[in-house]
Amino acid sequence: MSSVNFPELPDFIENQHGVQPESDLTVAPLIPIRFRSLIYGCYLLNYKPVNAPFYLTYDGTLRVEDSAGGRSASGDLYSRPYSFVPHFPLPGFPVLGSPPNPAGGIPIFATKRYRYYLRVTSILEGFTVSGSFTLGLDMRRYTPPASGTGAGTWTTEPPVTAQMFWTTAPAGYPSPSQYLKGEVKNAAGTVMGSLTMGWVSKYLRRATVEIDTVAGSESPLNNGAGVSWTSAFAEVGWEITVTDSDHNVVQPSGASWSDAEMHAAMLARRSVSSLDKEWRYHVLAVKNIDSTPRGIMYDSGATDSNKVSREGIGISTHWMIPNTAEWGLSAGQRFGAAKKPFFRTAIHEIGHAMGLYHNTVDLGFMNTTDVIAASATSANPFPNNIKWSFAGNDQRSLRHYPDIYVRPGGTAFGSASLSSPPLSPLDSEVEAAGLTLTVTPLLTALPIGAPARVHLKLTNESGFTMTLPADLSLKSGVVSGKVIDSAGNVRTFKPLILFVDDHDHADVESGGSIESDLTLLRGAEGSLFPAPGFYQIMVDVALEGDGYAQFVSGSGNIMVTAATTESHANAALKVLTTPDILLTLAIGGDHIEEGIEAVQVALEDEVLRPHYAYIEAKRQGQRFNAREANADAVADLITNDTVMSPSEEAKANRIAGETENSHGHGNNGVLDHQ
Amino acid sequence: MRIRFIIIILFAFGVGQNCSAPSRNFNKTQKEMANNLLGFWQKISNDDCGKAYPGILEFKEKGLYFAHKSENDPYTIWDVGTYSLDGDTKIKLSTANDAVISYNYAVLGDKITFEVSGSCTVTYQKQK
Repeated sequence: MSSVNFPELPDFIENQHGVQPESDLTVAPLIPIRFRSLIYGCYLLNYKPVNAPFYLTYDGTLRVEDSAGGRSASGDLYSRPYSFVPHFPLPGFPVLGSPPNPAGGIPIFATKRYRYYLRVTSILEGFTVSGSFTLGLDMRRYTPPASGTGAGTWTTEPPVTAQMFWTTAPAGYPSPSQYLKGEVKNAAGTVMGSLTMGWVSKYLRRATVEIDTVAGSESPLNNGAGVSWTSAFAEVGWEITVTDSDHNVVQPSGASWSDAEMHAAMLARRSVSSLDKEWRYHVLAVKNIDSTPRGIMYDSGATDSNKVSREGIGISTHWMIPNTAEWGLSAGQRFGAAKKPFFRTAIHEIGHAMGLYHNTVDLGFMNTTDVIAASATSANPFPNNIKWSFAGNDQRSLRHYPDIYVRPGGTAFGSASLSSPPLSPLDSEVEAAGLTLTVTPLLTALPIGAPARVHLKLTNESGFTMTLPADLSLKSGVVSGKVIDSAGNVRTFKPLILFVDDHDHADVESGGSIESDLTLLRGAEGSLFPAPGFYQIMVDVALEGDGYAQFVSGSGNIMVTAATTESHANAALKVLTTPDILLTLAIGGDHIEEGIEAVQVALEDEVLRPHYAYIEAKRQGQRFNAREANADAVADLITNDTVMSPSEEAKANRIAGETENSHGHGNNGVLDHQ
Repeated sequence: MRIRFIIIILFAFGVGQNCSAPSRNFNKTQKEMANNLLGFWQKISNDDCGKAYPGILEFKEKGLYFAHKSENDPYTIWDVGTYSLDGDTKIKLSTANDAVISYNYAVLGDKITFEVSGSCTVTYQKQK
């Protein structure tokens, strides 16, 4: 088993059969063929391990959904409670609790009983004419934090499969034909347990939003233009019930509330409810908030006085929207009276309560109001430029995050992880039409230990103007890829630093292109070019679509040559076995000592020196703490033999110019470098 | 009597003008400080207490900042939001749960140090 901090969300699942879903179709009376399919929605699960006490059983849910990228499914399991019945003078005997009632729709289980996240790796996507399909599962065991708050840990158990057979549903299931059972087996074919699944709802999750206000504050119920809690969350498969409750919450200390006061008011005024039986999120609308102008998910960290995370949010109604141009049609209004931004903020804060973070990939719910206002134009003024939906990756999180990340009272805010493993393009992404990406290595023959420099050119061949990422460097966050050696081994690379902000875009006319350079050395699996031989470098540029990702790919080839001297071999060994050299390459600075040492060793070898001279010159050419930029060192390092991409050469000239200006030294050939 | 009154008024007006001048210089300094903030700043301190703060900060026009995080740190306390200077020694930043927090900070050359809690500071260096 391996221990990881968070489970990976499920991939989109390849179609097992390429037929559109429709159930129970008999083709001909003489040759009855029954088509079976799984429909979208929530399935009630029961998992009973073999070789376990009879009172050990798990109940949970499986969420099955379809989007433009394909079918995805995920689930959660909770241990069913049991109790011991005294039987004096004999020992007591255990009594298993009652199973959830399928007629009650999506079941809610006690938080403390949360045990597994199920990442579905295989499920029926279309039809089958057989009476079964293969369900593939990665089961991730959850261990709550010892302190009671925080993230908890995840342990990956060996993958299992279950051949699920349709059978008659027991009483109470709303769809008798959508019930299956099967044996769960490990990779060796050993039966691990039995699994049942039965459809209970067209939604994936359900929750209640309760709204309380002080007198004179509005309730954020809708945006005044057709978007409500129900509609906004239906898009992500959540059934939201809104309770517009009290409107007379007393202000404890004046019109402005502290986070602690809001938390206390929530506990005092929230309708009696157990978070073990209902996912209830609380909205408190007050006139002003001490800690923020508009809204806050206060139930986090030190303010979480009862140590139950993410139960509630506060929103202000009497903040005055500045009367400045960027606030567009809302300028100068009282916030509670400005329906659109007011309601958006309420959804945004509840998004935080559901574990989501800020997201600037578009102008959707989890972006910030200030960024959205600043993005408005005179043609599309704020609040008309608000996008009334969650961004695609947030939608996926809301559908497929583990229960413990999204439910109120689950993990602390900040515990949920946005990163999932790189999704295969075949699984979930759509190749963008009309674009080509050419990947041209600077050198097709590279000495071992040297980084590979490749030039990227993204060309619009669509016949019309397209909006493309303006920056294709690794730091842009839209570029990733893999290196495949002659044996078929795959090593991946992605940005070392992920950028939160919206990516700059450029309108590119047909025939136009965006160009940049990458310097590749190491990736997630270590050195990208660890041995002499042929390598294919495949690069993906990600483009965002509506709820799914688009990409464009290109590739180039290089040949890595063997060391021919002892000095080269030793230097290559040093570079290949020093992980921090990547940080030195990407970030620079004097504080990554091992990375710097590896670069110095490479500089001392005549074969590798030209490939690392720019990296060292970049570091020397910038101040760091008390060390001044060293123009002499830059001049010594950059020669006509220095290997640099066009981007690096441009930067080298800038660095040389800056150090010349500050120190009056010459640049000794940098500006003349070809 | 009337002349004295006028003189007193003129003097008072003059004093008032002198009192307003320092505030104009104060605002000008704040504007310079805000301009100096613009751009990318890389975290150079390595203390454990500062791990929840992003590796790179970008301060932009219109009082917006963006954090650029490492892949291993999907959650940082500063991620995207607003900033504003509050005098010479304080800066307000909005945080990941939308709280706006005032931090003591100090700029020394091309480095900026934030006091993020009582005993914890994080230091960033301006990037070119």
